[in-house]
Amino acid sequence: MGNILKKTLQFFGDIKLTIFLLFKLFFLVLFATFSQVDIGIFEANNRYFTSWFVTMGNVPIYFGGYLIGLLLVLNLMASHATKFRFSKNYIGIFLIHFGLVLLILGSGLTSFFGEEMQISIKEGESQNYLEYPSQFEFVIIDASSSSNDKIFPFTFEELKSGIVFNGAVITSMTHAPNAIINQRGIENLKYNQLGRLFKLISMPKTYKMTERNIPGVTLSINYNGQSDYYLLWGGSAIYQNFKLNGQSYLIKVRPKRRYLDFSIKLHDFTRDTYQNTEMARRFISDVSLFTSNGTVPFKIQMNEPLRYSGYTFFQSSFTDDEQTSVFQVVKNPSWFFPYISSLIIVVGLFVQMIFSMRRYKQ
Amino acid sequence: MKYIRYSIFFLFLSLIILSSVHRPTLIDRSIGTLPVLHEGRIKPIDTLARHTLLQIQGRLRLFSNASPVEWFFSMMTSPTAYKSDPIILVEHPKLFDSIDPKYRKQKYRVSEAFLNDHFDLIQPFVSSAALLEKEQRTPFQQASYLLANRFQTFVSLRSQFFPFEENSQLKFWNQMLLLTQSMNKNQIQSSPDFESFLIYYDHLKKFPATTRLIFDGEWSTLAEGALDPSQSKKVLLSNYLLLSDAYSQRDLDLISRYSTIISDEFKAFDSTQFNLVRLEYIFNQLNPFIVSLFIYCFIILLVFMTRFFHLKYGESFIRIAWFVALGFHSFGLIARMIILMRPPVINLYSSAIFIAFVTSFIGYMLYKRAQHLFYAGYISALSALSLIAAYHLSLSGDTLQVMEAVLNSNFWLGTHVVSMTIGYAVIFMAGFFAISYILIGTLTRFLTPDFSQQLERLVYIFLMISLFFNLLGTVLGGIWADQSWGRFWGWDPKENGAILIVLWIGIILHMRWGRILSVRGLMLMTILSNVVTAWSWKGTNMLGIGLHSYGFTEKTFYWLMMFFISQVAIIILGSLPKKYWLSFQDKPDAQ
Repeated sequence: MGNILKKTLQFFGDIKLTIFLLFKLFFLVLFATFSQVDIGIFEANNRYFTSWFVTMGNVPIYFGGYLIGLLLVLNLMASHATKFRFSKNYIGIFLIHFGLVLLILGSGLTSFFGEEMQISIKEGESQNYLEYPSQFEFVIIDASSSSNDKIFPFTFEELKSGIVFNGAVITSMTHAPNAIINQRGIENLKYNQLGRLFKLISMPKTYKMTERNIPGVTLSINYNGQSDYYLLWGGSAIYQNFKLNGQSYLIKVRPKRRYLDFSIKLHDFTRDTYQNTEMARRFISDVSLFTSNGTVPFKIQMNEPLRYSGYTFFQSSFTDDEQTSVFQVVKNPSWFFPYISSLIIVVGLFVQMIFSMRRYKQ
Repeated sequence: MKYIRYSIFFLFLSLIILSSVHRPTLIDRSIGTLPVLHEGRIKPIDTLARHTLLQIQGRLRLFSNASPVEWFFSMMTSPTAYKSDPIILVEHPKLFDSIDPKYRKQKYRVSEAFLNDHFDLIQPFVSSAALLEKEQRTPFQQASYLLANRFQTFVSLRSQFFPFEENSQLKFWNQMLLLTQSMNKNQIQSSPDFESFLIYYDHLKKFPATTRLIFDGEWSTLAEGALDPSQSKKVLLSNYLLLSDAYSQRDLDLISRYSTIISDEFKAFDSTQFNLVRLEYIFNQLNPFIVSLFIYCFIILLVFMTRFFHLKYGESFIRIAWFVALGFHSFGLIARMIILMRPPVINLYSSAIFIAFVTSFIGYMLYKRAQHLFYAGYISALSALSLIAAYHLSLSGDTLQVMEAVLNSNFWLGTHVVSMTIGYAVIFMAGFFAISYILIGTLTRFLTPDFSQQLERLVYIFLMISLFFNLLGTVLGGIWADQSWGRFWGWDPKENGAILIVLWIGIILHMRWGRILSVRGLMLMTILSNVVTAWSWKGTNMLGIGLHSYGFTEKTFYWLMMFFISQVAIIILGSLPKKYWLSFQDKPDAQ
């Protein structure tokens, strides 16, 4: 039994496996970089790095980032389990590898639990929700209460198989992941509101960093044997409404939201330029956080994000009139992993360099 | 005998230095040191003149042998200067070959007068090119677009002063003032010059002047200063007009007097900036990187003389020359840092300069310890090559740029960028020493077992140092990215490039530790690391995606391809069986 364990450890701890995996990783990164040109950074990440296998069609053709990462971690642990010893020459190598394991684990955790959102606020206004810029959802809003709207969000998958809402069945007829709308010319009386005047045109999905996929759906609402048809498009600001049992509801396709238990207010956004040029020197957003514990003022700048309650707000963009500031918001519970592992790696590298230089001089 | 030899050596060294240092005339000194605000930075007119001329002409030397400052100031103050001199660079054989077959050349220069007559020929292509992204333009469109830009820059120089009359700028402006006064007295219609005044006034109002010369509180152009109702800039304005008049009469005394007055006022206005402008002027005249480039070449010559012609005191000459070269090189780096208040590496150009410096510095230390002639010659050649690459990068404009907002952080520029660049420099050194192993081994008989062992040790140490700096730099970059974009790692092409280098060095070292790599294998793998490094240093910027995409040029692409091909050729050479290597053909002798 002990023998088998030892053999397994030796197999997984073999330096030849390390070299093999490093080669695998090297070419994975190389291929991914090239394919980023065609499919964009986001899609390439999904296909190459945050996956177990790189597939062509459905056939796995290469190791994915997760698999290589996992195997490298196993390889490192097995290798150190078989060769661990307390010695001056070993401590640096051990620290470097220990830091690397943490780094790989941390980036795995980030890809599972990290979330990227966005918030854009006009000067003088405050907001208490974040948006996922690339994920859209279908919402039904009950605005009858004077104090709080009731919001019912649904995914497009749920919509496709049909939602039962207060006795009505809402089903999407078509769903285009990326679409534009265009005027029909002749009214189509089958649809209510937006769909009467506009038609949905499906577009190929875009992978460019500067463009967004904006989805659209056409859906039917069946109630008491009667059907109503609606056209909804993510790029439209209009909330359409329908009546059910005499009560009115609003419907819309909009970026998925996350509501916060605090709100953030933008007082002022400024863009400093170098003297007499259009070149920006800095962007400053003067904000206040309104929390249950009081109000906190903060100036968000490039390289100086605001961290609060697990969220980090980064200055990301602004509108042309410089009235609205856009922040990238990241929630990443494992954000400190890279910091710790970096520190360990750098210390390890330093120790290792000192000792091996000294060895070489002798 | 010793003194004579040393004297000859120092004579040569001084000649080399003097040949590349600029010796400014009085006019150059007086006008070249005046401050100007351009592209967000206060600089001496000398810098602006050089970069403008370089941009328009593609080189600094003029046919008339005038200095850049003289050319620039003449352009600004006279409506006819250099009108028919061929100065504007054309870079396509088909742009004007319909006029005359003599224009069927890849590279030639035309005059403003020529373009005034023939610009219509290419106007449609310029308009179509302007609608496209740079990558989508055909070479023809790109060439016409660039030509239009140069022409535009050239012509717009003329409107920086008041070039409406040939003789006196001051006289012109006084007439204008008189006219305005006569207008105040309700005699508008009666004035015979009213029509011409309106034209000039209109012209001044929509002046395309970009050269901000007047610095009283707010920097403004001459036209803005002239039209300023508060007249607070009147003194400066008149000094500039007097200077311009003195210049058009080539009156040296007056030129120096008025420029001194302006300089003194600037000193009183902002003495720090005044000193920085002076420093930049001295930096321009000393031309430190070109001087050190020539000295590095001189060192290569000295190495050959010492090795093959047994030049006496050669080793000591090399050390002195190298020390002087390092002096110029570090003066240049430090001056740049002081002028910009930035760490040494802020763009591709400065990274090449810095790589040359790191290489040279490490090489100097190595040479002092090992006293091996080969190191001196080889490392000087590497530094020189890197400086030549930097020189080509500098042709694109002012290399002392102000920084974009996201890069506006001295701490991260100073740590992440500098350690990445050191990492690049050291890995290139490893790669080039590996190349030397292959070339010396296959093509010469000098690769003795002893020398081979030394090279192996050197390459191994360089790989270790480079792994340290690359990994450190990458990690620091991750922390910077986490601070400014909210993610430690985003698989951006440039980040991928950095990780590729680290992975490649990791692979080489693990293969070495796993004892599955011979000396030759180590060398060949290390040569491949040159390809990986060049790719992530320059190649990744060419993909045109991600947050690091800047600085794409077709020329860079061409040279990168040539570099890749050369590396592959050397690897093929190194893969030849050992019996074909000259150094292993017969038993190497003891030396």
